[in-house]
Amino acid sequence: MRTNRIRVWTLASATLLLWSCTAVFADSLENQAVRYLPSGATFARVPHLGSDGGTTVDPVVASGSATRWGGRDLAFVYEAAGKLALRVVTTSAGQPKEFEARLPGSFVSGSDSFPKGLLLKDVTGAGVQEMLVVTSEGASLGSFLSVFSVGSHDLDNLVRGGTIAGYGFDLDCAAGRPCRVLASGKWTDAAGAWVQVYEWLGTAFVETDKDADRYFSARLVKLAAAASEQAALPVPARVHMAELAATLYQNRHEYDQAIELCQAVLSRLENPASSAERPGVVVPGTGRQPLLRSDISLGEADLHDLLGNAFGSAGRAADAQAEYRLAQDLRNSEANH
Amino acid sequence: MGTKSAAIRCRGDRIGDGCLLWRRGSGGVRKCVCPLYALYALYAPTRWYIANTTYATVTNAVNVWFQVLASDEGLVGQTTACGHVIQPQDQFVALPSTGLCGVSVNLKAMSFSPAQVTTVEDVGPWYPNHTATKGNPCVGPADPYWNSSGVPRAQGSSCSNGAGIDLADGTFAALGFLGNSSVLWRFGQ
Repeated sequence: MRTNRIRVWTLASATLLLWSCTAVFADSLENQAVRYLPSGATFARVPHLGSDGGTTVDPVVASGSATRWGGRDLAFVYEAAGKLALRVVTTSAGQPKEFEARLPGSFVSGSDSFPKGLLLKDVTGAGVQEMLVVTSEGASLGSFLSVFSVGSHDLDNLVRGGTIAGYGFDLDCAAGRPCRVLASGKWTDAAGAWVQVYEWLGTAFVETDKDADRYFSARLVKLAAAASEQAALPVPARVHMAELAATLYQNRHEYDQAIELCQAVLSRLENPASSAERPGVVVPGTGRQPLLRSDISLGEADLHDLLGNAFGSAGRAADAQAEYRLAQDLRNSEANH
Repeated sequence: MGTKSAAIRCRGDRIGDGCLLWRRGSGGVRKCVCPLYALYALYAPTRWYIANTTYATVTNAVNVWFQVLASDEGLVGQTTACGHVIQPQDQFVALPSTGLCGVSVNLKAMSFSPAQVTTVEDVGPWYPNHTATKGNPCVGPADPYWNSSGVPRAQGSSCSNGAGIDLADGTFAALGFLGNSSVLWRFGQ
């Protein structure tokens, strides 16, 4: 009996200890960083989606090994008088040392590749982690990626020209070489469909655009797939994506891909893969019908037009005319419905 | 104040022709048109708007609509200036000035699609911008054009596509847009 009580107490104590440690560890970064926050400043915060679909807002604080001394260093972004700054606190030989750099923009921006806006990662192959921060004044205006390392007296800016500008950023970190930084446009129209490649050239990241065409193609394939595979998208959204992808393929003289894309999107509209893609079905939780019968008919007409354009560009005039006729027939039929 | 716009093209009847102003007529047939309001935007010498510091109330009360080019914001997963994480098929707009987060905006396409009411959740397109970049070569302060000429600064500048409002994917699709398109908008429900 006594042994059982001891076991229960031991288990309860261990659970409590584990919970306490977890709780302390969970907010320890912010607690550790707050003592280095300048007077009157506040942590920059970045929202991100939780697993339950709700939005949580976290301070932009991270830890890692930013120096060769192997300590656990802190990095955080703070806001003071409307300006953003990155502060890094290293702890070599038990003595904290602070480094700081100003950042462009008015807020830290999260994204799929930089969910917390601040990333500590060895992107140069130097064996220490650099600090990468994405900031912005508005998503619609574009963002800035800043890359810093801890220097002997200050933070060293590792980007030639100061920052990398774009609407989205990705890292390509293959084994055996420093990471490449990919900056991209909005990809909502042809003018905004671009990818720039920055490479580490020993002292700074410099735009080289090496393999830019390969990265562009990969992005284009994703766009084309999204147009044909996303079941619950409204028809105009699918046609919009298909038109953009088909235009980009044609600009690259890749007519077969443009034709294949238009046929795939058309086929998906004509032969829905699930009941959710049939007209009149309301998307759960939205009260919205993604597909109206008239939208489908007119969407098909638009896609036949796109297909006609692609056939025309490929030199298949007869096929192009046939597609234009199909488009016109669908529109006439819809007008008489 | 001149309102000449080079952005509106009034020809073509197929998607892909570069038409910026589609109209869906009876039966839903989509045509590229150049109606009177587009001609007005092209050639009207003067426009008058009510403007003061309480623009939201005033424009709403007098029902002032602004006709501008709208573009698709996209950027799913990114953070907006209002601290919003952009969702697939999201509903919001961006206007080129700060301080408007959460303000209601009513949008109407130049077609028979229903009006959309949503809120401002981001800053842009194009302005304010301090540094010219590949994605945004326009440099200039905020452009609250609804308080001045009614014509976005971007509309007359060669550095941009002329858009005066950015629409989230869902708002863009709900208005039936397939590409950058002319839209009417005003503050309020």
